[in-house]
Amino acid sequence: MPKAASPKIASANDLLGGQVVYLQRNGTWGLDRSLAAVSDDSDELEALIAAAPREPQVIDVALIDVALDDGEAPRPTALREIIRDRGPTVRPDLGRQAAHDAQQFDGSSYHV
Amino acid sequence: MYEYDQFDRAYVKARVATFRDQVARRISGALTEDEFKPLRLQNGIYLQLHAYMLRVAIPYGTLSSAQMRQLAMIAERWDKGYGHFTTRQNIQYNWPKLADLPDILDALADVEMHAIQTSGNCIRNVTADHFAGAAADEIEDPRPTAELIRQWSTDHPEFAFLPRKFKIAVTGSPNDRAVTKAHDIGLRMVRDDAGEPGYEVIVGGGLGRTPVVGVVVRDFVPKVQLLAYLEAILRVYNLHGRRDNKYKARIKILVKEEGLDTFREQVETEFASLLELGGGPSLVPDPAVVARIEAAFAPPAFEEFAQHDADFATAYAENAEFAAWCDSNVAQHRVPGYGIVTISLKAVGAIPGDASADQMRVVADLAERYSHDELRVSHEQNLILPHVARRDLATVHAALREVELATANAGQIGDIIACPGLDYCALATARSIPIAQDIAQHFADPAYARTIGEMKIKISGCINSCGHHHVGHIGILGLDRAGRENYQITIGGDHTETLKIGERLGRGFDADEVVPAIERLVTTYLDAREGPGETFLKVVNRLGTAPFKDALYPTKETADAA
Repeated sequence: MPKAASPKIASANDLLGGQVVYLQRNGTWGLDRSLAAVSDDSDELEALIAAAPREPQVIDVALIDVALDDGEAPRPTALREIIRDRGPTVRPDLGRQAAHDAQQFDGSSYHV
Repeated sequence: MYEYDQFDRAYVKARVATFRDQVARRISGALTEDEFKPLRLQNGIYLQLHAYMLRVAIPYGTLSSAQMRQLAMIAERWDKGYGHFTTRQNIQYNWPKLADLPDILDALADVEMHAIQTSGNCIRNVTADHFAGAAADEIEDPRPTAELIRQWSTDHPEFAFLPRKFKIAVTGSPNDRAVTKAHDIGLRMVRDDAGEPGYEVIVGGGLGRTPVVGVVVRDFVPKVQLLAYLEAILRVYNLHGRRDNKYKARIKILVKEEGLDTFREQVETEFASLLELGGGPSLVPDPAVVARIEAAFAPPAFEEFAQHDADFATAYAENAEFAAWCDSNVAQHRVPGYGIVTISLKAVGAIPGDASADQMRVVADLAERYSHDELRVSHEQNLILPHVARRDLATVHAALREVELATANAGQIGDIIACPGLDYCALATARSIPIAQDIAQHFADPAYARTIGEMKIKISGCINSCGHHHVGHIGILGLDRAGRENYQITIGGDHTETLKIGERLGRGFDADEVVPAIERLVTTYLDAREGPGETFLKVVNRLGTAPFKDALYPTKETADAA
């Protein structure tokens, strides 16, 4: 029996700053993961990527697996994507995590 | 210190101007990413997890105070206030913005630095013994050779697109601090029977997914023929190296597949042909150029001191912390009354190889005042003050202490090499830094670390082996195992002139199991050694890996007996 497809979102890096961006439900690229378009249909996400405006320019586009918790933003499941999303586990003062409560991103939470 | 001539200056500035235009065209959309990527890589710019990363070459690991201050300025103005010193004597900035990169490269050019050939399938930054020009055991300073190779290899048109990256290291001492046997070419300065200086040439070493110990391809190449011999090796590699499979493209695979004798024969044929043609000016360097390079590395004006200094002796006797630092972090200098200071970038809790802008500035000031304006970066991710008078050691130690750089652990268990790992690197499969921090924290007691003695732990976050785990006394390789970080442990690796690849002991460990595993290895060693002079590596060489394997993977019988 084929394995059920995991829900996915599209991620990339912004050309100018390099930081991680997500393809949003409105079809544009943005920083807010909570607004990311989620689908378990890769073709559907690829079509959204193809239709997205060229600004901002993005590079290294990839589909990543996410978990969906009730009422929460789609959450990357692979450690690599968690670190890309938040910032280095060894420097909670750097990356996107620095803008949030660094305490909730302490190193222990990265053991997956 | 070598200083750029007019050609060097104009060349590096022109490269920055070209790149500035390329960046502008990328941002405007005139260049696609596919078109731009090779151009940025030619300027040392990678895309990593969080941002771009700029890798700056520090040729043969030598820096002036002014250069270090500029590195600090760049860290503060265009990055996040720190830089990361790597095992290849580079510094990496983890967070630059694309639009700022031309300005950063311009700032580097202002102090005669660049990021050329820090990426790509070309001859990379030439590395050398970090104690060069200072070590008591040195036959000759390897840096003039490294500088000559830098000039020959920079933008060498024939070798700009090799089958894979190509790394050259040079040592001028019989005690190899440049890991020459783990490079594509390793050069050891030697003298022939007549006392003439030249090189033993080692080829085909390397770590990565297929670790190989380099082999001697020629016992002796006279100095004047070095570039011709290197060119011969590179030509054979460029012609016969595999391009169909990147994992089999390094020269180590070519040497293994062809066999050393066949490879040597091909090189010698090419070498003879080059000599017959007279080599030309690029292969037989103008003696005036060689003289200029050698003059740039002439020893500084050392003062004449007695080996005994009363102030030093008093400080050593009265300040145990200073004495411990001298014992571990100060090496013997060739000139009486001087020492070579290793500044550990491995304080407990620190990220191996990271230095803040403030720390860089303090180190620059100390180098200017107390080390003839010279600094080095070691492949072990530490900084070096190569020429410090013993009378000044206490002052230097106190200043380093103020910025948490006086950790007395050089060569000990806390002095861990760790690649950036999954926290920063797009290639990594597991984190390295937190493992290094956990181990350093566990063995933070200086007395315990001193009891353990010399211990080289090296950690890589993937099989590419940037953390040199294969040649660690204890090596740790981080992998992804079904979505979990998993760490394989090897022991018995050796990165010196007796280079050896470590042996894997068994299944890997989860992250939280690594420190207890290291503790079991250490305990086994302490129980087995025949005295404090017998290091961990010596015990492994004497007993083999069996007792350590038993300690990590006890059978039911041994567990019951314990």
